[in-house]
Formats: sequence, C-alpha cells, structure tokens
Amino acid sequence: MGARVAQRHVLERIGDPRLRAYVVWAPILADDTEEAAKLAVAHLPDARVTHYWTRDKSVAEAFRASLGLAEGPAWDVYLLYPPGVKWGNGTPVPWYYMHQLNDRLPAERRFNGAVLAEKVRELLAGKGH
Amino acid sequence: MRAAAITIAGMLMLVGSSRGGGPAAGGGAAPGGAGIEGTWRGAIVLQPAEVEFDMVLEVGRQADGKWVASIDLPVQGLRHRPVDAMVVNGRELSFRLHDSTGATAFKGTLSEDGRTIRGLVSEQGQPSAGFVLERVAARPAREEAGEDRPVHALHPLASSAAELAARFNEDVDKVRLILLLSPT
Repeated sequence: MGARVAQRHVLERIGDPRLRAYVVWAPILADDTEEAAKLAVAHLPDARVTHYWTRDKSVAEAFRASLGLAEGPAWDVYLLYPPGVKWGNGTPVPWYYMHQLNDRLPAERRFNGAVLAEKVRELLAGKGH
Repeated sequence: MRAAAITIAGMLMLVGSSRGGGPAAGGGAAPGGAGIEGTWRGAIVLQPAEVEFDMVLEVGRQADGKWVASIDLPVQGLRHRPVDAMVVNGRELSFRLHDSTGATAFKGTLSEDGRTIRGLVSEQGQPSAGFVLERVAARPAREEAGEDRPVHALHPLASSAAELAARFNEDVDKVRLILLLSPT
C-alpha cells in the first residue's frame, strides 16, 4: 500500500528526471517470496525506479544503523538523499526519512506521501545540499 | 488474494493494516463540466497520502440511455466488476457494490472542469472513506488485455547490497529515494 501511495503522490506528481528511486523488496513477512516481489514491481512502474529482490533480511538489518533503530530490520521505510551523498563503508544516513513501523520510530515521521513529495521537491530545488 | 467482504474494513484486513481515519471531503462545483462517461483512475482514501486503495471506474451508456459502470478494486481482487444502481444526474453520480455482507455505496461529484470525481464511500448508511478519481484517456493495451504483469525487471541484490551501493553512487548527482519494503 505504501508503494502505491509513493507512486501516486511522489513519482506521478514529480516528473523531474533528476529523481531516482530504488526499491528493495525483502522477505520480511511469511508470504514474501521472489514471485510476490515480481508482482509488487507493478506498484511502482516509473522508469526512474530500479527494483531489487534480496533473499534475506541482511540489507534491511544493515539500514537499521542509518535510522537509529535499536533492533530488528528496517522495512516499510522511505529514505531520501540529496545529490552528493555517497555510499561508503556503511549504509548512508538519509537526509530525511519516513516509516510505517508504528512505535519503532518517531510518530512525526510516519509515512505520508504528500509530505515525502514535499521533501523531494525541496531537494530538487537545491535545499539540503 | 484472500477473500474478504467488499468493505473498508475488508480492505484494511487484506493489507494487514489497523489504521483508519475519517473520510476525505467530498467535492462539488458549478455546472458546465465535461461528461462522466469514460475511464477514471484514483483511490479510495481513508487517510490522504497514507491509507489509500487503488480504484478504477469505467462509466458508459447503453443504447437505451441507461448508465452502466464497472469497477476495479485490486486490493479486493476485483476487476471489471459491474456496479449496481448506477445513477447519473448532472454532475452527480452514485452506485452500489453488493456482496454477501451488504452494499457499499459510492456517491460523487464531477468537477467543473470534468477532470476529477470526488465523493464518499458509505457502509450501512455511514460515510467511511472518501474517493477521488481522475479522468484517464484509456487503459494501456496490456492492462486491457489482462496483462497486469510488471514491465520492469527485478534485479537480484546480494546481502552486501553491493549492486544497490554501486547504482546509488552512479546517481550521485541525483535526488535519491531508497524504499525498503515487503512485497505482500
């Protein structure tokens, strides 16, 4: 559901070619299979999106540090980076993020597609870098 | 797709969400807009930009003048499902969707410029969500043919995320979003 909201509010409304998105589909829930991920790709059909499937939770757990999570994998999270940020030894810390993790992260960062779109527009306008 | 009643609660159950909220506002405008016939795409909106469910409505008129429509609600596994009691009166439209548990009623208003329909979804007579639809030219041919398969590739990603890191750094001059998601 978050994927569709991101598609509708961010990617469909911001056609800027300077935007890229990478979706990591990960096996978090019991029914999360590669086949399910192949279907889920349809939720974000934008040409600026690259879709990945990872067979375990390693990537989601690696991003825990980037978000300051105490434990568990980082999933249902949306991380935003300005131009210039590079991925070095560890997963990069986002300039802004939103989540659907209930009380594991601050309530004020709960995912809202319109808010995320506004943050994207700020970066495209040159703020944050 | 698991079976569930065609209700807002049923949709929430299917996506595993406990969230809910008040209905989005319905809309209206002065007369003079384009017609309601056509294909409309949008969402049932429980919480704007947070909890939304895809919806497609196709509205047509038979030779005898009777209004007909079909609805897609992917979260419910519905595709080209005929609606009942379709009524169009000026820029107002209403219809119902029945299942074994009862009826879900939709009532909306076409915007003055003819590009948007906004309205309310009601269950047991009580508004439970909003909906907003935008006119689209037509469904893509592959979708019309029932080929909803994705057009994008799914790339394998190692546990080290090396492929993602490389792409991320190649796009260093771009604004970038990383989404970590469950596919179900």
